[in-house]
Order: sequence, then C-alpha cells, then structure tokens
Amino acid sequence: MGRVTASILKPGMVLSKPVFNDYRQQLADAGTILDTRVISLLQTWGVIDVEVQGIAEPTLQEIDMRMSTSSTLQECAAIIEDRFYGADQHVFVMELQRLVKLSALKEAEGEGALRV
Amino acid sequence: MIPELLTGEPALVVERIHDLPTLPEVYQRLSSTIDNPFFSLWEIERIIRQDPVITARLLHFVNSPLYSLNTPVATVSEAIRTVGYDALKQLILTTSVIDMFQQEQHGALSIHTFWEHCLGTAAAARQLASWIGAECPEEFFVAGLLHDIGKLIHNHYAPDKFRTVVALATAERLTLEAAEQKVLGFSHTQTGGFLVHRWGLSPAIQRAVAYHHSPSVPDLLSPTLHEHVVHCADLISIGLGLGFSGSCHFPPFVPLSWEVLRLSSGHLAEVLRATQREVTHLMTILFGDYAE
Repeated sequence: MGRVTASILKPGMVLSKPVFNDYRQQLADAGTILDTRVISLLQTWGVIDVEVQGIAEPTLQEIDMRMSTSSTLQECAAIIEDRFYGADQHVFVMELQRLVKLSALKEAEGEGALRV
Repeated sequence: MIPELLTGEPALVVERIHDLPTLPEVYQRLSSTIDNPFFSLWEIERIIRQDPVITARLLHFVNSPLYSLNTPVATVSEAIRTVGYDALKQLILTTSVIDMFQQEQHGALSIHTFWEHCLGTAAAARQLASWIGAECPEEFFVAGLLHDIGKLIHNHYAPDKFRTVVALATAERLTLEAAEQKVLGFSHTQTGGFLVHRWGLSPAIQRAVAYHHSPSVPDLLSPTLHEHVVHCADLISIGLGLGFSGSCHFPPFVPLSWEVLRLSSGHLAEVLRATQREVTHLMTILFGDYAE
C-alpha cells in the first residue's frame, strides 16, 4: 500500500483508503477499482494524492539504487546531489530531492518528466 | 518600514542608495490607477498603449501556452481582460525590473541564469500560494521574483567586492549570504529589503525579500506568510536546477515554513511540474530562445 499522486493513476488500481473532497464528501470508498470515470472524478475535484493497494512511491534509497545502474544516470544523480550540497535532512528537503531524482529517472526511462 | 534593514555597519551600497533605480513611470501610473476603486478598463488600456514594448510583451504573454487560448488575442483591451489586473501589474513589474538590469552583463553573476533562478522562485511561490488558498497569488510571484534583487545591487554598486563574494562562495562552498556576511558584513536580503521598501511595494513583499532566508514565527501583527512561501520556493528553484543563485551550498531550511504551508508530497510534485512548465514559457517570452 502506498500514496501516489492522482496524475499517475491508472484504470485497474485499487484504492486502499476512501477519498474525500475538501468538503469532506466521500468521492470513492476503499476497495474501489479505478476506471476512467472514477479517475476523472478525482481529478475534477482536484484530489492530489490517494492511497492505492500494492503500489508505493519509490524511496530515495530505491531511486539511488536504480540510478546507480548506468554511468549516465550516475552522472545525473551527481548533478542533483551537487545542488543539494550541505542540505538539511528535513522531510521537505528530502522529499524535494526524491521528486527531482525520480523525475530524472522517469525521463531517462522514457516516461517524460521534469528536466534535470 | 523594516528598521532592521538600516542598522549595522554603514555599507558602501547603503551609502550610495540614493542612486538606486526607481520603478518605471508606466508601472507607477498603472499601479495607482488600479488602486483607485473607480478606474476603468479604458484608462488601463491607454497607459499600456503608450508603451509599445509593454504592449508587445502583453500580447506575446497572453498568446503564449501559459493561457492556452483557442483564438489568438489581438487587442490590448482583450489581453487585459484575459490576464486580469493583478497579472498585468505583475507582468509589467517583471519586464521592467529585468530591463532595468539588462546591461549588467559583465559582473560576477550571469544575468540570464540569475533571472532564471528568480523566475523559478516566483513561479513556485505563486503555485505554493495557490495550493494553500492564499489571497492574490500574483503578489507571491512578485515577492519570489524580487527575493534576490539585493544581489544585483551588490553586483552593480560594489562589483569588485561582489566578485570576491562569489569567488569565496565558490572556493569554500558557502551560501552566497554567508560569503556576503564575511566580505561585506551584510547580505543581499538587507539591501533587497531596503530597495523594495524604497519602491513602495507592499509590507508583505518587503518582509519576503528581507527574511526569505530566515522567515519568522507567524504572529497577528506582521504578514509572514509571504516569507515562508518564498523561503520554500527559493529551495524548490535551486532543487530543480533552474538558473544559478550564486550559492554553492544548499541554503539552510527553516522547518517552520513547511509547517506553515501544510502541503503533502503530492502537492509538492504538482508544484514542481507547474513551476518548470511556467519557467520555460516565461524565459521564452522574456529572453527569446530558452535551452532546456
């Protein structure tokens, strides 16, 4: 189980927790199998992230591991780490670094994401 | 007025502060017209039309992918109605400030990468402000855009010393602020805060510029939200590698800022995506070709 951003939801994923809008109205229950209609509903209400079964966002360590598999990715990781030289180990800074690295990894894997 | 900005050792920059640039007349006229509750679209249009450069940029801006319009906008009045008055003020301030320092090509900072960093901070600040439901996200954009303006003042008025600052930050891997304190005895946050005060920008923008590296505890007497937003936005711009701020060390993070904003990882991911997209468009509009 893990929290994923609504923009990457795909039909067939299963919600592990109910989803509410800002007015505390339930949009979908736990166990709902996502289809295009439900995904569209969640996106229309501006839902940012949801809990789904069997899928978790990769951790910084997992991303680092995947980025160590080729010299190009290692170089890319080194550029990003250089930007974060001396950074505090706060959850915001760590998450920022994780998202930037994840994006670079996805771009390298052809999924299209942020540039490095 | 922020009293702290004027304390401390008398500095070369502050001694020559009477030479500091002023905001262009078109911005001041537009701003005072919009602040009048009885202004008309016709008055605004007349002010814009008197400046052909601003007219061209407004039309370029409104027809850019930032607005994704189905039909191109060809008239100034339609462009004003599309972007809104707050965004119009922000656009004119942005183009005016960038033009003001356009000749600074030989200092210690690359103007192009400097503005890329500032536009990244501005775009991230506006995104963060929108997500937390803050009023007038355009004001956060301006605060982000101007947060490092003190560096340009140092670059212009104390070029040799500022070259030493940048060299020290590079050699010892310091934040630019730390290097400024060692060489100048004060930092760009103080000079920048003084400048935006002189320009008569809002107290919230003054505080954001002066305290973006050290946002303070929220209280009821002073507007502190902008400084927390710009603090986070600055780090987002650095993390995304948008331009170069002159720092060779990631700035210290004040955890209180993230507690004030209360955003999730999903929000942060959305802010990063939108920031990068917006910077690409803004750099293209303001500087022509933008190499991603």
